[in-house]
Amino acid sequence: MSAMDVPARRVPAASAGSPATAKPKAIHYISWIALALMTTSSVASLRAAPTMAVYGLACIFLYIVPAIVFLLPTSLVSAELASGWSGGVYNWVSQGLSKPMGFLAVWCQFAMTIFYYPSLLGFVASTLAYVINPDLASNGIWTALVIMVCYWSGVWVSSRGTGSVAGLASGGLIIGTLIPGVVLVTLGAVFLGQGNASAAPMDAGHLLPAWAGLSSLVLIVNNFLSYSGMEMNAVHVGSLKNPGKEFPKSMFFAMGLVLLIFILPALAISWVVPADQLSLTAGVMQAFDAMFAQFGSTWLTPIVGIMLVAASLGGMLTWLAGPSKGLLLISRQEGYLPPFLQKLNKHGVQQNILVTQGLVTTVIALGYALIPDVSSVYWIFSVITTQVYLIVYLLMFVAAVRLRRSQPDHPRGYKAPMLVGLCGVGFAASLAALLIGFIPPSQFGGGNPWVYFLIVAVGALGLGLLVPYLFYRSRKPSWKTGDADNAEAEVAQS
Amino acid sequence: MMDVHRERKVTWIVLGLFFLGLMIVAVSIFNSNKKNQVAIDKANQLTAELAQAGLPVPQVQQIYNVLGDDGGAVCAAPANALVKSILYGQLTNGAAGPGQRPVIADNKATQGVLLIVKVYCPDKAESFQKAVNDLKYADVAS
Repeated sequence: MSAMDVPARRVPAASAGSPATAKPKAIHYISWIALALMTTSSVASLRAAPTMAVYGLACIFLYIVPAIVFLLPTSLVSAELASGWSGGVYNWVSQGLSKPMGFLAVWCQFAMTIFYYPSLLGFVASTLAYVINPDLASNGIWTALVIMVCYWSGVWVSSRGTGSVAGLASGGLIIGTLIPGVVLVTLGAVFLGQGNASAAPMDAGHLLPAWAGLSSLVLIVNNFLSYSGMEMNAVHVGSLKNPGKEFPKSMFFAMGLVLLIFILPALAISWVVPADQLSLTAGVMQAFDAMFAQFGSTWLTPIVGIMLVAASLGGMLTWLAGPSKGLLLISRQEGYLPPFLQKLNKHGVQQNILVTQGLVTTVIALGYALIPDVSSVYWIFSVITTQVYLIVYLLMFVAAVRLRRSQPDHPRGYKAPMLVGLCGVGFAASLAALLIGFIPPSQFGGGNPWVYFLIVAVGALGLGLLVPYLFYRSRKPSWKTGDADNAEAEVAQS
Repeated sequence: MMDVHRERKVTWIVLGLFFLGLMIVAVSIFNSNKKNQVAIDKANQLTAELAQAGLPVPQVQQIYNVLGDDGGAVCAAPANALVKSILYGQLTNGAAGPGQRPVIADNKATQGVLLIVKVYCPDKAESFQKAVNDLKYADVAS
């Protein structure tokens, strides 16, 4: 049986608040390796490799510095929190700060995904267009169809439960990221082994990116976000047999994989394809095509294209299953969402949240088809949503310090070393990324920076604070559909 | 009612067959043999343009294998809103997940592709030039 299979079942003990006669229900476990692969799949893929290959050897710096100041704190802190408290970020922040803050944290994590799926699936559409017919890349109906078909297929798969998602996300990562990643790195090594000079200089003088003042700072600090999402799968910690020991192991394994996936393929591409030829208009596939053309193996391009699609869809599954589950858990306990949105299917999956989110995704997809110009300003949503996502990290680091002080004896399977220092570094990195998000990027051209600031600030405040505040204000005691233990036990069956 | 394991097995088989089929279709449709006289001539022309601009020059074979005789995906619709959104989606940080956000891209980011458009689809060069001129750049790559 492979690591990603579901190895066992357990029967949870009846909780204090549940009736003694309640029928115990079996929980389907996932292995820690499956969770590590899910986490890696949520965060890393080869999609970024051509973009970072432009920086040559300096891409190591651009990934390692954020790894030290953001990946390490995020991973270690979430490993400690998940080894002590189930449920993920909503429960950590609820316990460490307050229930409303817990709702805010999980809302921000969830809200970010609303605009993430169309952009991820837009990438899928352009990749498929490249291998089938490049003209389709400019066809709004094609893009809309791919977004809708992939999203709703993802909902169908997610509705089968966490075990299905774990298996498919792991499979997507292996097929769509690890195998083509090894192929890329091998080809790069063969290229150098044949005596060819690296297209990007590989000497000590190019270890650091060129310093261009604020622009370089924007690049370096924005790269912190490369690792965002590492904590997201902690919501499935209840699906591990021994969460206290297994979750930290899974995080360490995922950290190593993420670093390797980001750095090595980007370096391999920079050895073979000159930065100036990493054509960006045709997207990522053009760079892979150029890489394979060097070896006369362009027949590999469509195969890798489909593999990348598989990896992207596997990553999407983890995002479908994660934040919405956290949102469901706190809503069942506190009545923050109307009962309609709390409805579970027979697998214990939050089907109505996914369907409602799907309707929003469908509207955005139709926007691609009917108002194509919308697509060229879509990048602004990625700025707003990443700003919103950073609120999660700010809350998580504060909650971790509070929990260490307020509940020092609470059993934890893993204790992060120098937690306060780690949280300080992580908090500062998140705050820096939040502030740097207000600096206009290339896409804004020569527009007024204050207008940009206003757009991002209003968007982030509206999506990240106003909407959850309205839900909070509208909450009703009658909307509570389960206590903490019941809610988690019921959902953990998935 | 199917049990969970059987249901998952069915999901794996259905998705496996779907991706296998998609791969077979993609391999059979994708044009990986783009060599012809026009493609070679265009590749030579691009080589000269790149050298004149002081940019690294790849092998001619590599150029025609990627761009063929019509510029391939680069020339499909370079100034179209959706294609521009793909370009914008690439001028980003190193994230591959939800942390992806735009940055101030390097000056080199669109230099090569501009020359490709000029050589392979000169009729679209003006609109594409306008699209990339609207962007802000900096010297961030070493």
